[in-house]
Amino acid sequence: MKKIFVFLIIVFSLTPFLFSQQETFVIKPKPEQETVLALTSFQVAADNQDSMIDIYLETLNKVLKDDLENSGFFKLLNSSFFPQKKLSEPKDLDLIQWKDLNLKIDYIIFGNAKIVDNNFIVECWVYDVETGEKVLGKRYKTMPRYVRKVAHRISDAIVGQLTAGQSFGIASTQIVFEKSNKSGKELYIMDYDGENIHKLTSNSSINLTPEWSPDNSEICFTSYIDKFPAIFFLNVMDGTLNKLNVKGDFFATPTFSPDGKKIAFSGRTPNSDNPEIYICNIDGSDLLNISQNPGIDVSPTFSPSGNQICFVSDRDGSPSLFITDTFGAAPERLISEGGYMSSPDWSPDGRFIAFSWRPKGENHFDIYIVEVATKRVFQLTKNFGDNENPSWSPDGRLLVFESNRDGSFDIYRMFADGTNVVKLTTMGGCHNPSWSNYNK
Amino acid sequence: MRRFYIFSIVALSLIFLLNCGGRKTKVVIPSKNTGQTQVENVKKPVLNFYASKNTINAGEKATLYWNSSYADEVIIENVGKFGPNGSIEVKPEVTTEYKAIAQGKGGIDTQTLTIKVLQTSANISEENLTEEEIFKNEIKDVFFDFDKYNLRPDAVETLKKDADVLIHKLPNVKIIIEGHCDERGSEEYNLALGDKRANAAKDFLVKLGVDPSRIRTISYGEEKPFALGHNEKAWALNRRAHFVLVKEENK
Repeated sequence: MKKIFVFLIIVFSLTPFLFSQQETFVIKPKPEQETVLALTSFQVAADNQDSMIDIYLETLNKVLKDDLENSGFFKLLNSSFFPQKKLSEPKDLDLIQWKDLNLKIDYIIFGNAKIVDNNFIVECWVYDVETGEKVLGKRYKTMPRYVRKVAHRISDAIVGQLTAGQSFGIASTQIVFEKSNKSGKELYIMDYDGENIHKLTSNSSINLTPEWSPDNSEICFTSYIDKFPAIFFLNVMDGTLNKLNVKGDFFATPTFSPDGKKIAFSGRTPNSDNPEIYICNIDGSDLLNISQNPGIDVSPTFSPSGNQICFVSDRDGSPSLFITDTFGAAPERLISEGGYMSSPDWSPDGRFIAFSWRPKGENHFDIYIVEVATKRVFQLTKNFGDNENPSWSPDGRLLVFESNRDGSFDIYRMFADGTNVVKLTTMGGCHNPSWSNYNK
Repeated sequence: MRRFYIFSIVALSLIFLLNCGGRKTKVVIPSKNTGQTQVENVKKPVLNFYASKNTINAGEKATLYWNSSYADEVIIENVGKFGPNGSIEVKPEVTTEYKAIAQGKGGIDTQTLTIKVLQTSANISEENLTEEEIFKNEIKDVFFDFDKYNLRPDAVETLKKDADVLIHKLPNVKIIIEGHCDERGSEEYNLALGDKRANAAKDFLVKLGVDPSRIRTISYGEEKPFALGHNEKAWALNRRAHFVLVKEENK
């Protein structure tokens, strides 16, 4: 299935900076191009059976509002200007009244919720205020405790519908990351908004560098469970672990190919005397060394086409980004400037690679993106401690990363132009986030 | 035996006292010249000399005791000059004969006693150092510069000594070389850097003649720092190849 990804707007800054990375990059639509939404509070349905509905509705309304705002596509109007009459279902809608507000509303969103026989049932509609057409109408049924998930699903449906597939919505996505403890590191998972944090591994070893399979069913990662660093696959649903079947004492930084059939990683096998980039099938067969260099080669990331790999190598001295194809053609250096580059992640539309970089003479890592075709570099974080390990949202509009701007390392999210930075964890010792793919 | 000694001394002393001077009887000595009788009140000293222990272990102490009659002083040879009655602690290193001389106007009385000193053996146990102890004492870690895995001159010297120990003193042990990095690099890159460091050390040991099958490497990247500070002193300690002995059960 072929997806259409986000159209990113680049604006060249006229500010007289020295380097090309000082060009600015904008991801949100300009204010005059924003889609204007009137999100009305969802109401209690007439046949509701449970007085607890008020608490669930409050959560639903809040999460839906946050999700739509976080998507970066919309301008949400302040509800204090809305007509007094509550909207619960389409028969309540008086479009003339809404048009007369003259607020340039593009779409109006309303709905209702109820608890019936312990089922939480939510109905939701989106109408085009200009044409009066129904754009979306859906009913969701689940257990009340999944109220946040329902709100995320509604938001994703609205985003998918109103952006014509530029994004399928990231509200239902999840982020996996590492958290330090006394004995090492365990993997944790959380929703895209930092809620619902829980442990994924509990083996008292060191678990590192998690990456999702394309269908989100598995996470591949580096672990010391068997003493020597090796690559494991964790089934997210049932928790079963499988070790990648390859011979050697060093394997790390795995990543799935976009079709989920192959895996790329850094490894030292009996046939290589240093860490090389290997690609193999997920059963360990057809092992291929694609870096072929006596230096360090680590942190591969596939292009969304699956034909190319970007990785980190010190073959020219300090760690820098290189691109090669999946058969190991001579790697090409991506950025000529020096310093310490790390942790590349290829954007879902293939256009950019996000990475962390400590330029020569600087004291801190920051998040940058490089446009692959033009090699133009954009700096996304600045003056806030170390910022490392970026990972793209599946719609390519946001990035999640780690930062120690508040002292200890925590996970942050921002738009891919560096705006709207949101802190997602507050536990400290959180590293190396990886954003899931779309949850269908 | 000791009891017999003391008994003998006491018995002899008593006999002596009873026979000679104990009763302060006036001895009448006939004068050959005058025929007159001269009363002589000056009596010969009588000494009683004994020890708290007559046999001791080397390093122990014993006490000498004495009491005397008709004596002004008691001299114990090689110990000192004392009053007519007294005691003194002695710590002879070898078996020693003590000679006490009681001196008075009436002459001297000499007594001797022997303190036997038993020389105990020095209780030193002897065993060979374990492989673990030799390893701990003699195998040294090597350190690296930031973002580097080439061996510094000091690391080369250390590894030469390590190789010598591994070949000659510990020819049968297997080792693991851990590669470590400081926290300043990136976590992912440091995993590979740690591997390079550990293997740089391994390759050099192999070049010096250590059998490669005896050595495995583990990269810990920046995950297991030795020093926890956030300064160059801590970082320098954390950029290392660390040697670990493989315990028998893991071989």
